[in-house]
Amino acid sequence: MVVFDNTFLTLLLHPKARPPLDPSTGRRVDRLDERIELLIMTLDEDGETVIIPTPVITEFLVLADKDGPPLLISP
Amino acid sequence: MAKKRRNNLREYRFKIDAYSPETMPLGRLAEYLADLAILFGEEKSVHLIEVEEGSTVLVNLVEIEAEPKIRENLDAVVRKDAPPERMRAATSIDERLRKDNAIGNISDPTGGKVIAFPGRERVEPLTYGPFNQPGVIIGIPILVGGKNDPVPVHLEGKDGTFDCLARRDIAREIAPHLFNDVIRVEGVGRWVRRPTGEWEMLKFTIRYFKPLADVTLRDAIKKLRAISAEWKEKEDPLGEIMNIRHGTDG
Repeated sequence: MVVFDNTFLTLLLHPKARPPLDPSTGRRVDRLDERIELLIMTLDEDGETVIIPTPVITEFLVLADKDGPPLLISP
Repeated sequence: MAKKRRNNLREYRFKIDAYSPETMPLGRLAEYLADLAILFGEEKSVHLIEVEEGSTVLVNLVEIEAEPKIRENLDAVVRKDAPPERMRAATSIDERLRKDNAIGNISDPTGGKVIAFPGRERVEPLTYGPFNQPGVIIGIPILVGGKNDPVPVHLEGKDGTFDCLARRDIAREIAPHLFNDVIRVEGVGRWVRRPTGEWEMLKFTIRYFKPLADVTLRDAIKKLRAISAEWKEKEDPLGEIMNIRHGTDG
């Protein structure tokens, strides 16, 4: 079982967004979209259960504004 | 009170606040001694030399060369990282004290307590509950039906089988998915917390269910990404999130 926080949820849905800073180097994380795709592939192959906590959804909906509800209904 | 002993011997006392030397049954004394021998270890270096009056105090002399090892054995029991045999001996002494309606302790030559046995004062772990807790279960229905209302609905999930209940009208709607589709049920579970700390679900009453789409995680994410949204046009959505959390002033 894995839990997504809002930083990852946002990047998951928008992998071309400006990458976050890597605290160990102080620079932007490189090859972000490839890293995300690899994680999705691994979770898929492992049949992992993914949890997105309600507070994460709540914060994300503030960001997504009127575009949030369609994401809750799909897929 | 510790008495003067030879210089190469150190006195460790096991006190039981029940019985006296006159009333202590011999068999019971032997049981305590057998466990004490395991607890101390180094059995050739520990000698019972006296049973004192008052309560019952078993006075043991420990050879000074063996004392560091014996002290470590006793301290490991307090830290709960002693070998299983020694931990069992400590548990056995404590349980015996509880049955004898007593408490006990082992003290060192200075009179300091090395191990305290709570015995009769030990608080037994309790079972808490049952409590009602709304919950969600995901699984494939493998049984729907029965004479009563609500009827049993069993779901085979990733971590085992869940025995649930559902009203007949809900069960009827679940039935077409039998052995075939993964469904997500929402409802109320009845839970107890066992003395071991584990939670056990006694029953789960289904209030609502939904068949889950048979899509992989990758496909589901692909669909979500395909939904157009204005927030994706923002240059730095993670920065926006930080503003949401902390405001734009800081």
